[in-house]
Amino acid sequence: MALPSVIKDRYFLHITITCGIYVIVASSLNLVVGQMGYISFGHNALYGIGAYSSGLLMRSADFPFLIALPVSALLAGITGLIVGYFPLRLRLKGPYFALVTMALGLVIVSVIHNWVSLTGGPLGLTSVPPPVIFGIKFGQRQNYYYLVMVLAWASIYFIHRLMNSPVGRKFVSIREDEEMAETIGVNVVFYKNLCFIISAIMTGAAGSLYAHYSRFLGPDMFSIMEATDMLIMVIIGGMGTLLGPIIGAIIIVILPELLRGLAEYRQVIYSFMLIFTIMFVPKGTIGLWNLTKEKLVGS
Amino acid sequence: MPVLEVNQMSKHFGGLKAVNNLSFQVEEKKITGIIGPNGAGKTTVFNCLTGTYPLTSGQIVFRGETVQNMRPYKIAAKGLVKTFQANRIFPELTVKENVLIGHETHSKGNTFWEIWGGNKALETQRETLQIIDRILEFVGLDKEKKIKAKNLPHGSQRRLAVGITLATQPKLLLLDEPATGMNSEEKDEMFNLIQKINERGINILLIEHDMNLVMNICENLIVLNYGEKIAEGKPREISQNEAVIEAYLGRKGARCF
Repeated sequence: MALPSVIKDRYFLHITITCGIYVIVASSLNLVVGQMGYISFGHNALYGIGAYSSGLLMRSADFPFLIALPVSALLAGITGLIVGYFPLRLRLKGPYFALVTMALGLVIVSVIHNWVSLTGGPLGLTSVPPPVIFGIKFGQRQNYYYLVMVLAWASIYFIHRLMNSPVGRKFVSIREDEEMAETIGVNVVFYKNLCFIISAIMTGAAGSLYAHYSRFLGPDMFSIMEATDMLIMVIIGGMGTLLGPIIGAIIIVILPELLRGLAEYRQVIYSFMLIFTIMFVPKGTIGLWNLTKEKLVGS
Repeated sequence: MPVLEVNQMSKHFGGLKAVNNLSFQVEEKKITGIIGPNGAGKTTVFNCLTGTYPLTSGQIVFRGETVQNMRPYKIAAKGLVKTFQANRIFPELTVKENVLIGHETHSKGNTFWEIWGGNKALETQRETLQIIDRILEFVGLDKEKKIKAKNLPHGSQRRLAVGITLATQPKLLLLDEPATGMNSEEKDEMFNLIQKINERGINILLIEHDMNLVMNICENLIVLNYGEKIAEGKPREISQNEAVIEAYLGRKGARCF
């Protein structure tokens, strides 16, 4: 994945950069949805907060990228904490929690639309500067490709370590049997918040990466459609696995490009894929792969 | 000092008095049982003890500390842990991981640094794995370490549930109908397991319907009916207690004795 530095084709680089960014988003969303079992319809908001704050910090406040990215990621994390704290404390679960996150998403989009002096409203935020790290400019796609790949690999590695640690196992115990987990001593409210915040921080960081790549931000890019696209990546790819969200992100990024002619039917196609996955292969592409392996080897 | 002291505990669900003014004690090292007809409130008592239900009134003193209405994870951290009536385990995880979770909730050093490994973490890992192995051997599941919990047979799942709670280093273990759905052989194994656990110094309070098991393993019995205590004492006394027989068999049934 990190190799083709030889391919200078702009289109190819665009696709891989976009994939890299969404791999980070999908993997972090998977922490909440796949590993912990709580659905979030609000990650578009976290993505948007990361994007807009990073863009603004660099454009209007002259922050260097190495500070803008972590700060905007943290802002997304704080949003996650604020939104998550009371619902999780009140033991909201399943559809109720999802609705709260959906509300978050809608509120943030509304704020972006209306706070015109800050965000440029519907006309968008222009002239977001590209990162400059240690004197190296990342305005060119080739350089940006490396930046995104490094961060994408770092995210995956972090999630891998997290999921194989006591903390990660506690997330899974919450998914498997929350009541029992609490009965044996897991502070479920704390860990639910922790998971959501980690996920928010990573998605915010991805938003920042997007902002400085696209160099233009508009509220439509962070609508609820984004949130559902992110969920589809996680579900179709394979919830709860490391590889699943990666595959899901790649599929959802590439599919619209392959099906250019069928652009109006994009959501319809996604819906069918989602329904098919949930009904027949709930574990996503990873589940499909495991099933095929079993059939071929014969269990 | 008794391990557990329950004073005038009540749990009402609106008008329904599931548990009403219940008082009893569990002495150290004496396996105690709670029995009574279905719907007597036994599982409700357990849920109150573990903090799953806040009390309507009353007091729970565990090892000298007042613990009623505390959050369940805090009560578990103090050493009061229960198993569930249904076979509840973490289905998608392996047997080893299930027990590991129980252990990790109570071991020190659960900081973020554990994510990154390093020498200290490796040492604790080795120790941890030894502890896990010992627990699995104790409950008889050491051969099934890598099997997903959902693929275990019913009886093994029950033993796994016990193993998970043992990993939390409990001081008082509440067993909710441990012998449900077992054949005689499995019940004998469970009997032995419970005794082994008690011998290790872990106090046990259990709910059970199998009278044979209860009479043979418990040193003290508390009988509930309609949320209230109707009798308490040694198994022999209880088996001859009129009120108890009436509760199980009804007034006409009691006349047969």
